[in-house]
Amino acid sequence: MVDFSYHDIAPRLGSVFAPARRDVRPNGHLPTPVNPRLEKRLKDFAHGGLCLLWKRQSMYVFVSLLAAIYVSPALALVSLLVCQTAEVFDFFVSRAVVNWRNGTQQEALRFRHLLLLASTLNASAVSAFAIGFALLEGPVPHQMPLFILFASGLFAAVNNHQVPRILLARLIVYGAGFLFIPIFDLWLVRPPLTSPLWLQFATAIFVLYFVVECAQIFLRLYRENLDQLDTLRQERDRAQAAYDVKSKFVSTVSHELRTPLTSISGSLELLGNGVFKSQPDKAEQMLDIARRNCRRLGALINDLLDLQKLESDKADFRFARIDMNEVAEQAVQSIEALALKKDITITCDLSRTALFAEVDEARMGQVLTNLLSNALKFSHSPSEIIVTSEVVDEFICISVQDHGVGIPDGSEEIVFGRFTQVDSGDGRSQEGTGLGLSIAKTIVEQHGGFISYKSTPGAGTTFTMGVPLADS
Amino acid sequence: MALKKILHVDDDQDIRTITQMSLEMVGGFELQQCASGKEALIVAPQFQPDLLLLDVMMPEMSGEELWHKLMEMPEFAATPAIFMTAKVEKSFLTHLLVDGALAIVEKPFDPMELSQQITEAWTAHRNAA
Repeated sequence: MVDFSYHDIAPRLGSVFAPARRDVRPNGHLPTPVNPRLEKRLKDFAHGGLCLLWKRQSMYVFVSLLAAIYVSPALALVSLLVCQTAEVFDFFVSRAVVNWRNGTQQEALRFRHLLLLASTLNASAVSAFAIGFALLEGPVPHQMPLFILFASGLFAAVNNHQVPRILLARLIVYGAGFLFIPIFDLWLVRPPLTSPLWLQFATAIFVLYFVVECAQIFLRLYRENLDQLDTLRQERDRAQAAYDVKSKFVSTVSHELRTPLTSISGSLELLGNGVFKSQPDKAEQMLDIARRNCRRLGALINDLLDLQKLESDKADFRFARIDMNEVAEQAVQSIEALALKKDITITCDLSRTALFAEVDEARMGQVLTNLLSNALKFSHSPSEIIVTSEVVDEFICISVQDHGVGIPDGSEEIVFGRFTQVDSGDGRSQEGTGLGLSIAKTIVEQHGGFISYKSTPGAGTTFTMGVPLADS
Repeated sequence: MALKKILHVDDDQDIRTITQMSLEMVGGFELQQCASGKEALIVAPQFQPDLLLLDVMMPEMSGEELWHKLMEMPEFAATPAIFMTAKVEKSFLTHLLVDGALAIVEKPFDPMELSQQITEAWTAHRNAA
């Protein structure tokens, strides 16, 4: 068989087969990508039709032979010609659908119309043939014509159910012929109710019901199959997205680990090769770099492991009834010495009553220490950091206010993102792992709480964390 | 022409210090350093470097962006660039080389070898030109 691609046949067959191209805008609508489900239905339909081409042909020939021998050669020939015309049309439309790629919804709808037209033509030819067959037989029970229509209906139900409206069209056309044949006999003869013609009519209705039932079953099975495919596709997309996030993270982590490693290995290499033999102050500087970056690498690895643990194992928290004011005080104490070194005072303005929450004490301490060290990092010296606590809407809110450089508007993603820091503009951006606030946010959210900030660039930032107040 | 003046851009202070030791004390080059692309765009016209040595991943302006911005200036259109990066995806490195980067130095790098690596890349470039 000649392998036509869609583009080969389109010009040859004229405009009927040329679907709306991207530059053509039917009804003024912009071309939209095709609904994948409709595309699949159309392709399945067209492909199925092409696969059964030779089966259909052998049936046509067989039935035409019977008609030619037992009824009328003329009817057989005419019907065969009409059926073949419809088949040729159907064949080219189906080929075009099978070879159609990356189309628009408009093209899909156009193809559906064409396939519907081809199917209706074909079914009408078969139905007309059966009716002609029956009329030539006269008012007797019509075994062969009714069986042809029954077989065609069943064939459509089994094989052409992918596009419901095409199936419906076929069934209506066959059904009309199927009912017309016995009804016409009844009208012509007007027999008593005991006549076999009435039995034939009743049988026709019963068989028609059966075919419709079959069609519904096949349609439902096909739909379920499509649903499953959709689910699979969604799962695959989700898995792919998760994998992409993970691999981007790994790539970033590798970069972040290599940076301090570069400083460590570089400074040690220079020292080891005696470059600073006569310059002890430079050698000291190199050792400082190595030490500092060892700490940085260690902190980074700790934070990464911490984050991994938080993401994978929520149950690790040891929840207990804890006074958040106490946690805040301890966090302040732990960081006070560092603050003094930078000439920064930390003032606690905590609520007078104890504020109890069901939390993991160590983790809450970690969050507050992170917020405090973050405030310290971006504070000017000398300045003040104020820690306050209060209850707002059943949440214990602890705020850490600094008078530092502030955060530009719209930087939430950078502030709480991983390995990202808002540039302070004065070369401080190297401090910290870039994971602290991301970790704090994860911890607080796993306690059913929140973390947010308000900032005025140049004037300072207030970070607030909230956890649900425990029932008293 | 022998390589003399190098403009080095990296946002990490410690890596700048080590690179400085490596290129000035070991290699004997004349070095100017910047912490960001923004700074480099101001410094470059005054310093007139023979070669650019650029970190790739920097906040705000990446090394690659900086390189393209400098190439838009007629005086730096032909100034060769070497990239230093901890980002080691093969496709990315190939992309830089295809775009015309002279060489790529992977981090961590050996400060005792860096000057020689740069000189070799420079010589190959001069011979080709």
